[in-house]
Amino acid sequence: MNMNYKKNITVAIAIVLIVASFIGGYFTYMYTSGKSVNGIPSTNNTSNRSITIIDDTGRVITIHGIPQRIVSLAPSNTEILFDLNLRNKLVGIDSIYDYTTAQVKEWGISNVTQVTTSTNINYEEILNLTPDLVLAAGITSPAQVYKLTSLGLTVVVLNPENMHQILNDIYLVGLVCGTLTTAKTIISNLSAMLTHIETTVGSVYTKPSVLLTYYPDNYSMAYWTYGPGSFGNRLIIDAGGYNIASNLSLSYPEISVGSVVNLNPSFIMVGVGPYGLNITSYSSFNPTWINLSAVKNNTIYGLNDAYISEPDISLFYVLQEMAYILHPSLFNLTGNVSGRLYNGNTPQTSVTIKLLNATNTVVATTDTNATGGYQFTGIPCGSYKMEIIYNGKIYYRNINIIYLNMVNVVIHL
Amino acid sequence: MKVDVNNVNECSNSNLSITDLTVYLNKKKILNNISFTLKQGTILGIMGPNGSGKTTLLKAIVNLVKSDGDIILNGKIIKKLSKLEIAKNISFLPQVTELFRGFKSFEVVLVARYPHNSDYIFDRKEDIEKTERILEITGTMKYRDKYLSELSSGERGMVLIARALAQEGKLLLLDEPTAHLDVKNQLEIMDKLRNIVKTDNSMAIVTFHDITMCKKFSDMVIMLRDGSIITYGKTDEVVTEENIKRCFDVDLDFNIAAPPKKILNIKHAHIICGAGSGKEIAKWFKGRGVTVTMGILSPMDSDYIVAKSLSINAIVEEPFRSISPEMVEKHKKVIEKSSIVIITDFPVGNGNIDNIDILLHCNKQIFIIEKSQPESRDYTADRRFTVIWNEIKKKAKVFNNENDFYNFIEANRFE
Amino acid sequence: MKNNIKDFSKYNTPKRWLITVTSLLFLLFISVLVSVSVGTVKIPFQQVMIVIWNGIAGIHQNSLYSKIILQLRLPSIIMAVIVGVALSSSGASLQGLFRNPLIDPYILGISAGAAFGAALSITMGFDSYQSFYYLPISAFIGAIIAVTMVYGLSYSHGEVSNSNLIFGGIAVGYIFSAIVSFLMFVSGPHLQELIYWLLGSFSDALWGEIDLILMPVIISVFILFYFSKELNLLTGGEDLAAATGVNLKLTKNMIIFITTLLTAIAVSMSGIIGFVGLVIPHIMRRIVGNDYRILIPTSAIGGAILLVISDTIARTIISPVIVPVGVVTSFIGAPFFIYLFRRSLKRMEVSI
Repeated sequence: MNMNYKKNITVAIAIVLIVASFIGGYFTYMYTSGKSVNGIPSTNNTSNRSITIIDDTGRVITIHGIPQRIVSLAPSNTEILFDLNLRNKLVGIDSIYDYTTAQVKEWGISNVTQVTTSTNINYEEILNLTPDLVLAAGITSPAQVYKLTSLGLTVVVLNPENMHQILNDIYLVGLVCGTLTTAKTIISNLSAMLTHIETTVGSVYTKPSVLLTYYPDNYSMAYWTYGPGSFGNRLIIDAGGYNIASNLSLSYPEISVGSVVNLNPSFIMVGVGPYGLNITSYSSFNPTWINLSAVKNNTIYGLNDAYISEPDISLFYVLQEMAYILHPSLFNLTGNVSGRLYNGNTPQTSVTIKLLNATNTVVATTDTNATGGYQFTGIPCGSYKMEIIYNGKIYYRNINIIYLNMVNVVIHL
Repeated sequence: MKVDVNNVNECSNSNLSITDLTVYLNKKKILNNISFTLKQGTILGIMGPNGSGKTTLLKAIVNLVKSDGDIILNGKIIKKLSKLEIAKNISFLPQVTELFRGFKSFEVVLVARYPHNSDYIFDRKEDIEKTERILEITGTMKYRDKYLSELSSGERGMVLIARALAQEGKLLLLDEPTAHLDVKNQLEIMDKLRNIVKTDNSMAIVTFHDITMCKKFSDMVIMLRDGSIITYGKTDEVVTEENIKRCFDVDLDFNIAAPPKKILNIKHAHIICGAGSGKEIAKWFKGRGVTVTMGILSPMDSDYIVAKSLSINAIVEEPFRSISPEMVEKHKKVIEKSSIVIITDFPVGNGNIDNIDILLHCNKQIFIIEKSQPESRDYTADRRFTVIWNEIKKKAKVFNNENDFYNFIEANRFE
Repeated sequence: MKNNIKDFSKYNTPKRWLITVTSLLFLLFISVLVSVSVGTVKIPFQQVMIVIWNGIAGIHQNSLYSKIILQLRLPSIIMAVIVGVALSSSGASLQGLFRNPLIDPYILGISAGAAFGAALSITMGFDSYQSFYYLPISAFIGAIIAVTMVYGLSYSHGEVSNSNLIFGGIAVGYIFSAIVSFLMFVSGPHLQELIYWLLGSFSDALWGEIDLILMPVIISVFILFYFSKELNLLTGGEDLAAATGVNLKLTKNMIIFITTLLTAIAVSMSGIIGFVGLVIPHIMRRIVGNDYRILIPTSAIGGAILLVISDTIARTIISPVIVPVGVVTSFIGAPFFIYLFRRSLKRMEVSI
C-alpha cells in the first residue's frame, strides 16, 4: 500500500469532515438565531398591559407591562426619556463621557450606572440592573442588539433618519412607557413648528448657500461638515438652505478652506458652546476667512454644538434657529418666557436676569418683580441661556424659546 | 558523452543500475545520459568541478528532481515508488544548512525513522533501539543529549551520517559529507563510513571536492564535467593525471600518494621551498593528515601550483618582485604556529634571501634536505646566503634525500 | 543501554505526552472555572457551580445568575478557548513550516484581509438588525482572499518558496491595510464599530457561533497534529525532509490551508487578537521542547489558557469598564516577547 496515498486520503477525509461540520453548524446557527426571543415578563410590573411594536430597525417587539427600569444606550435616548418625564425610571446610561457637562447637570445623571465603554457594552452590568426596557440606538451594532435580545432583554432600537422619525420615536417611547399624553403634547408642539417651517420655506425659490461646520481642522486646513445622508444636511434643506457640502460623497466629510473660498457660502454656521469651540477657533487658522462674503456681510452664526450633533428634540430648536437665520423676512417667530426666581422657598426680588444667545450676546435684560416673577416677550425663537448674578455668583440656565409658546421656567438658585 | 561499455559489463551483477539519466532544470540540461552500475559493498566516488552536476545526480537518483532514464535498485524501479518507499530504500544526506534547532542528536537520528514509522505518532520501541544501535556503531552515543549546534563540525557530520543510516536505505547517497572538515575528521568519518558499507554490504555514492579523499576511499569513481561522465571505472584505473586534467581542466603533476601507513602526530609542517623543490614533501605530509603551509613562493613557481591544487595555504609574493616586509611579517607568524620547519634546497638570490634569513632567530625544529652545496645555488650579491645557511645548519637536522627524511619523521615522535 | 531512555528528559514518550497534555488541560479547566466565577456581578462560587451543574443537567433556569453564567460568561470563555486554540496551534505550525521564530498566524496577510472584509461590511452597511452575520462572513472571505493572493503571488516554477510567501504576505498585507485605512477615513460614524472590531472581543459571542466553529476548529487542530512529524523533520531543512520521505508539497499546502482556515475563523469571530499565535508557541518550546508532536497540542491549550486569563483580566481589571481583550493580550505578550528577544540576543542565536 502506498503510504503517501494513505496520508492524502486521511487529509481528504478530514477536509470533508470540516466542511460537513461547518454546514451542520451553520444550520444549528440559523435555527437558533432565527428563533425570536421575546422579552420576559418583568417582575417589577404591576400592569398587565401587553403591546406589540415595530422599532426603527423593523424588529417586532412585544412588551409586557409598563417598563419601570430603563437603560438608555445613547444621549439622544436619554433626552427623550427626560422630556417625557421618565428620568426617575432611568437605571442605566451609556458612558458618562458621551454627555456634555450641561446635560449631566440638567438631567442629573452623574450617579446613574454606566453600562458602556466606547462601543463596548458591559452586558453583565445591564443584566444586573434587571431593566425591563433597553433603548438602543444607531451606535449599537446589530450583533450587540442581538446579544442583548438573546439575554432575554427587551430591546427597542431608536435610529431616526429624519425629523419626522424623531417625532415617531418620541411617540414610540411614550407608548411603551405609558406617557403617551406628554409625548403627544411635545409632538403636537414640535410638529406645528416643523409644519410651519416646512410650509414657509417651501415657497422660497432662492435657497441661500450654507456652510455648516462643527469642527475646525487646523492641521489639514479644512472644516468637518455634513455631507449627503447626514442629519446636518437634512437640517439645512429643511431650513430652506443649500448645503455647499451636499455634492461631496461622504456623509461626514472634511471640506477644505480652498473649497469654501470657491463656493463662497452666503451663510456660515459653526458649532459653538459646550465642547469649548468659538467662532475664533474657526477663523484663526484661515487666512482667506476675511475674503468670504459671509464674513463681509456678517452672516456668521454660532449654533449649540451639543444640539446639532445628536438626533433628538434639540434638533428642532436648531432647525427653527436656522430657518430664522436664513429667511428672516419670512419668519417673525418670537416666543415668550416667564417664571419665578427662588432661593430655597424665598422669591427673589430685583435680581437682574440677562438673556444670552448662542454667541453669548445679551439680547434682553429684565429685573424680577416683587414676587420674584420675570418675563421676556417677543424674543426670536432659538436656544438661549439666562444669566443671573446673585450675591456675586453667576448662575446659568439653558432655555429654548419656542414659536407661539409661553415657556414657564421656575428657577431655583 | 556515452559511458564506456566495457565498464558496464564488468559490473553486470550490480544492485544499482542507472541508464541514460538526463535532467533538465528550467530548460537547461544539467545531466546528460548518465549511466552506471554499482555493486553491493562498494563506494562510488563522484568527482567534478563546481556546477558539474554532482548534487543534481544524487537528487535525481532519489527522485527529488525530475529526470528521464531508468534507475533500478535491487530490481525496483525507483521512479514508480512513493516518496516514503524511496526513503526506505535510499538514504540521501544532502548538504545540511539547517541544524535541527531544539533537537538533540538522539532525536535528529530518531526522526529519520520516519519512512518506517510514519503511520505512528509516537516512536516504537524498535525505532528507539535501532537508533541506539546506530549511535553505538557510529560512535556518536556520547553526543546523544547534545544539540547539533553544540557539536564540532566533525561530530555533527558523524551524527548526520548516523541519521542517514537510521533510515536503513541499502543505498547511501552522501553529498560532500567531508566538506568544511579538517583532514583528521575527514579521514575519521570516511573510515567509519567505509567500514559500515563493507560490514552491511550496502552501497554508497559519495561526492567529493577533494581528489585525495576520493581516491583513498572510493572503490569506483565517476568524473563529471558539465553534466556528462568524463570517465568511470575502478579508482586505480580511472584516477589518472590525464583524467583529472580533462575533468578539472588544470595542469597538475599529480602522482597520488599511496594510502598512509600511519597518521603522523605532527600537527603543522611548514615548508620553505621554491623552484618545485618542495611539492613532493608537501604531498607526502598532506597525505598523512598534516596541515601544511609553504613559505613565500612566487605564483609562477610549480610548488605554488601544486600547493593550490592540494588546498595548501602558501604565502605568495607578486611575481618578479623582492619579498616585501609585510610578507616577511606574515611568514614569521606562520612559522610561529607550525610544529616543524623544512627547508629544501633551492636557488637563493637577493629576491628571496629573506626566506632563509628569517630562520636565524627561529626556535622551531628545523629539517634541511640538502642535495647540493649551498655555494652552487647562491646568487646573493655578497654570498650572504652561504654564510646564513651554514649558521642555520648548526641547529637543524640535515638529510641528503627525501626518503631518509620521511623515514626519520615516521620513526620519531614530535611535539 | 536500554534503561538510558529515561535519561532523555525531554524525549517524547506517550506517557510524557499524556502527563503534559493532561496537566495543561487541568490548568485550562481551572482558569475557566476562575474566569466563570469573576465579573462585574459578584456571584458566590457555590452558586456558579449550581448553575453550571443545572445547565449540564438540562434543568431550565431563568435566574439572573444563570443568565450571566450560561448566556454571557460561558459563551465568551468558550469562544476565548476556541480562538486561543486556533491561533496558537496555527502559530506553532507556521513557525515550524517557515523555520522562523518571528512568524505569527497573520504572516500571510490574514489580519489585513479580514480587516478589509470587516471594514467593507461595516462601511457598506451589509449588516442590518435582521441579519448581523455579514461582518464575520465578509471578514472570513477577506482573509481567504488575502491568503489566496499571497499564495498566487508566491507561486513560481511549480512551487511556493517560504521567503516568497513571507514577502507576498507583507506586500498583500500593506495593500489591504491601506484600503482599510481609506475605508476607516470614509466610514465616518461607523469608525468606532470598526475600531472596536479590530481590537478584538469575546463579549458578543453567541452559542450559535460556537456551534458553527467548534467542530471545524477541532478537526483542523487534529490535522495540524497529524503533520507534526513532518514539521519535526522540516527543522533540518526542506532538502533533508524530502530525502527522508516527507511529501513537501502536501505538507506545505495542507499546513497553509489549515492554518488559514483556523486563523480566518478566529479573526472573523473575535477580531484581530495579537501575540497569542506568536508568543505561546515560544513559551511552550521552552517548557516542552521543540518536538511538534507535543508542541502543537500544548500550544493549542496554552493559547486557550492565555486568552481565558486575558479575557478575565479585560472584564475585571477596571470593572465595570471592559478593556478590549486584544489590548490585554498585547500587554501580557509584548513584555514577554521583548524578554525572549533580549535573551536570544545574549545567546547570539535566534531561539526556535
